[in-house]
Amino acid sequence: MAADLIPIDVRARLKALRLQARRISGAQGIGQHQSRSRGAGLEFAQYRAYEPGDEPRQIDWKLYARSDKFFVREAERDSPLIVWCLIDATASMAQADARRPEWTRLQAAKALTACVIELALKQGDRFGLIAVNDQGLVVVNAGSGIKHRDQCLLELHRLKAQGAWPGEAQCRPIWERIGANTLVLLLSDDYDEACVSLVERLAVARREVLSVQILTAEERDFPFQGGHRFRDAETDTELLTDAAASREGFIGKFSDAKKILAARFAASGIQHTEYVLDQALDSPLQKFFLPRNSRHRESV
Amino acid sequence: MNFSLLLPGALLALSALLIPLLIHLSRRSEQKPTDFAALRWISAQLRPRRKLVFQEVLLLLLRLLLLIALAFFLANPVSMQAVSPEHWVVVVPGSDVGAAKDLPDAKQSEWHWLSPGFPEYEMKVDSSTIAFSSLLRELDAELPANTSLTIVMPELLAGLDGERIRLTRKVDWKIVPAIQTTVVPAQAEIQRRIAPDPKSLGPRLRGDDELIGNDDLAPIRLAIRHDDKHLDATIYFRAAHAAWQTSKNPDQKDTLDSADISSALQQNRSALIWLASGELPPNIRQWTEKGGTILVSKETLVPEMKSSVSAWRNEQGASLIRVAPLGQGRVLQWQQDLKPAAMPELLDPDFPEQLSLLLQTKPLAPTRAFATSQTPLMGAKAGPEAPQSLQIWLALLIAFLFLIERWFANASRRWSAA
Repeated sequence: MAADLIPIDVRARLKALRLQARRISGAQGIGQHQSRSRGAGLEFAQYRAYEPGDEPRQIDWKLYARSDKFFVREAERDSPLIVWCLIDATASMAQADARRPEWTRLQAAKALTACVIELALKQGDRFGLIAVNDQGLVVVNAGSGIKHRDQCLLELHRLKAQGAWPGEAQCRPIWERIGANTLVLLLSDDYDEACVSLVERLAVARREVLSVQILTAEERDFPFQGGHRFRDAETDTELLTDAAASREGFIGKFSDAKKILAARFAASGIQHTEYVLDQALDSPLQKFFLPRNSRHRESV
Repeated sequence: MNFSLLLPGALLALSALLIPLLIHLSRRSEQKPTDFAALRWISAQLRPRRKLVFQEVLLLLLRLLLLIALAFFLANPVSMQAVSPEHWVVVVPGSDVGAAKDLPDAKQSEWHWLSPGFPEYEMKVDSSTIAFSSLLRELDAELPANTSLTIVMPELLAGLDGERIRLTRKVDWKIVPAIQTTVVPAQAEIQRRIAPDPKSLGPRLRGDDELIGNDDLAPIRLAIRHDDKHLDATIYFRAAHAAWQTSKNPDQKDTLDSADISSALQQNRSALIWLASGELPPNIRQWTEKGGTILVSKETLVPEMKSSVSAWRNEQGASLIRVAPLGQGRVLQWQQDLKPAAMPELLDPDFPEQLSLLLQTKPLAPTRAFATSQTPLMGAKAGPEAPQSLQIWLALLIAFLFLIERWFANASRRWSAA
């Protein structure tokens, strides 16, 4: 596996963060999250054959005495929170700043996903990821544990930005996998209308959606000089223009578009923030997950 | 201070300034497209304006400066620097300087030795004979025109040459007592007086035929006196004598006076070859002391040979003839037997010329005189002043600029990589 996706300093700051959902659903057992429902203990799910690597204490010794075979007792996880990372893996996510060509939007999205997985792992929450483009969805089911984390990271490392946002039919698995009352973190540039409307509908359908819009510093500052040929990788359209002259117009229109987007997300109850590639990686996470009132949480 | 260029043509190298200009001319970035997903918000297509834009202007300026400095370096700039007036005190080795310390501006003066290279006064110099006139002329030519000069010298000057000293400037002729030690070592003086200068001997040794019988030397009128034992050896000197007689003019021809040791010398003989054992007879001694040159065989006893110096060595470095003064004349003595087996040089084609040079009596120009009589004349033509080359400073500047340029070039790469 290549280098760690999370920079060391960011990993250090992650300790202060805590995944939490605003709309709490207490229907899924006990865990670290505050809940109104009580009493549900370890719920038996199934027996399965012992595999090397399972802890001996998980083996059901009574069953062994009866059947002379090792069985592992699997239970439903207790954690009430399921985090889904919804990663936009379309071609536009391959864009990066000229100053730091390897730090693409997708790379930032992968790193943010890795951070969230790390947080979920620490809290014992379940996590899954879905990467979306029209070459086929990459889905890792919600699960927990170090092995599951490693599987997610492996998929993240394999992920490449290509193609465009898929059609409605291709997006069906998203609806199937992401159940209600789960936390969904959208990591995208939010340039695809289909993507925005999808998460709007997800939010309306009782999924708690957090959206991080990943922008490049060039999109924010438009530092180009002279004549430039701009290309949109998804639609493959090109535009030859004098960069300095179109700077004002672009910045104005672009910030308008962002305002409209923010208003739409706010209307749907989606927490929305921007992450520009030259900022610290954990800044959007700080915004979402920094516990505002830890004393309150302890007293309950 | 005024500058000039010794090679102004090298300024053509300034045309190389075009190279960094072209390098830094901003490439038309339209050629390679920039990925930009937020394309839809870029408004109407404005035609890009064509404008000369240079990238990294600071680096460009540095490179232009570097090239300009290089071009000027090639053009070899010099400055005709006006030197502030100075006063030099030049001491002739052997002078008693204590008497000169009360000069009016001794403190502000630069003190030097009159010695090759004009070392500073604090340094030790070899106090053997110096070519006084020659060094003084050299010093006069080298010093800037506005430098005044004081020469401190003993009463008796050595190392003069045939010409009266003539300088470009007025010099202060300061005569002081000499230090008591002998200025001229005896051995060197003997060498100078009695042996031919090896430098003047140099070309003659190569056997140039025109140089044989050189007209500025008086022809040698040779006599040979021998005993019976040395009769065989006379043939080499006869042959040499015959070889000297190249002049067409019959008056210049000399007839050899060769006889037994008992016969008397002819009146006009200038050189005598004495081939006999035992001491020299008194009449021959007397003749030599009056200024004659005598070449004696190995067996002859001459007490003065104790202070002799070598006058001729063979290629192996063995001494063939040694020479010593005797009165006003000279005694030369063979160091080997006069047989070709012992001394193959006897049969060399240039033996006659070697012998001629050794026997010549050339009147030497006087090289010593009283300092009072040698006050220099004025009016020598001053040479053009040597300009000071500025290339070394430019080289330093170029090295400095180059380092800065490298630093900037790498720094900008670092920034863009970050």
